[in-house]
Amino acid sequence: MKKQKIGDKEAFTKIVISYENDLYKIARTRLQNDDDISDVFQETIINAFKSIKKLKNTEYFKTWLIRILINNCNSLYSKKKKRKEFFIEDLQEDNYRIEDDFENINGELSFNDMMKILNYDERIAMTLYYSEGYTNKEISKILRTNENTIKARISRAKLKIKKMLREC
Amino acid sequence: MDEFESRLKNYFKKNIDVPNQCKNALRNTLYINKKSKKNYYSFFLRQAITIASVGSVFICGVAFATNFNNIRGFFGLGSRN
Repeated sequence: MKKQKIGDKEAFTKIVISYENDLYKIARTRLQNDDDISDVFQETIINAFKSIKKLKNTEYFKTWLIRILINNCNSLYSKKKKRKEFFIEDLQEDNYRIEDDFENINGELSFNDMMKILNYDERIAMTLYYSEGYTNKEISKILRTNENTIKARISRAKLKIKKMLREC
Repeated sequence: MDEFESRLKNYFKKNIDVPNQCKNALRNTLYINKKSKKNYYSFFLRQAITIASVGSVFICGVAFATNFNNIRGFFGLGSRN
């Protein structure tokens, strides 16, 4: 992927569209509302396109784009929190209820079910690890957190999912 | 990789439906942004007009204050001295 290629508006859009599903999953870990996700997508694309020249190594384009997306999601989330526009799901985030409806109760969980079971830190770590295939070290760099913290979050999330699967 | 790990991978790897509004946001943003460039110009023009009008009022104010006697003369009020 050459820098000139990414710098071109059409090529840039094409590349971003190819990450559509991944970006949506990552945004969903923080935001529940599709309108908010659309806003964050727009902001991310504008920010990324404007600062594409700052990207030194185009190999890390996706990681860089994800980093911008996460920053934008977090800032929108904190803005909404300040304005006290809480989402019901966010309020339930830390005290997850077993009686929540799951999409599939035949011992199989979907991505949306995962979102209900886990809290934000676990959701984002698990999505980056299993969906995007990043290593713990890479995730710690993306989230600017300690590598051991990421390991702990992933193992905690696994335990929760295991428990949930047993109960299904 | 044990069974649980591969199940987890499947859960997370499974594609989910991206709503159309989000798809459109990814597809059209850069092109919409191109159109909104025109608004930038009108924004700067408005700023320039505001600054110019505030500036001219300020200059007139200073001129009025420094040449108060001359201005009185201009209005036919005569000098204060």
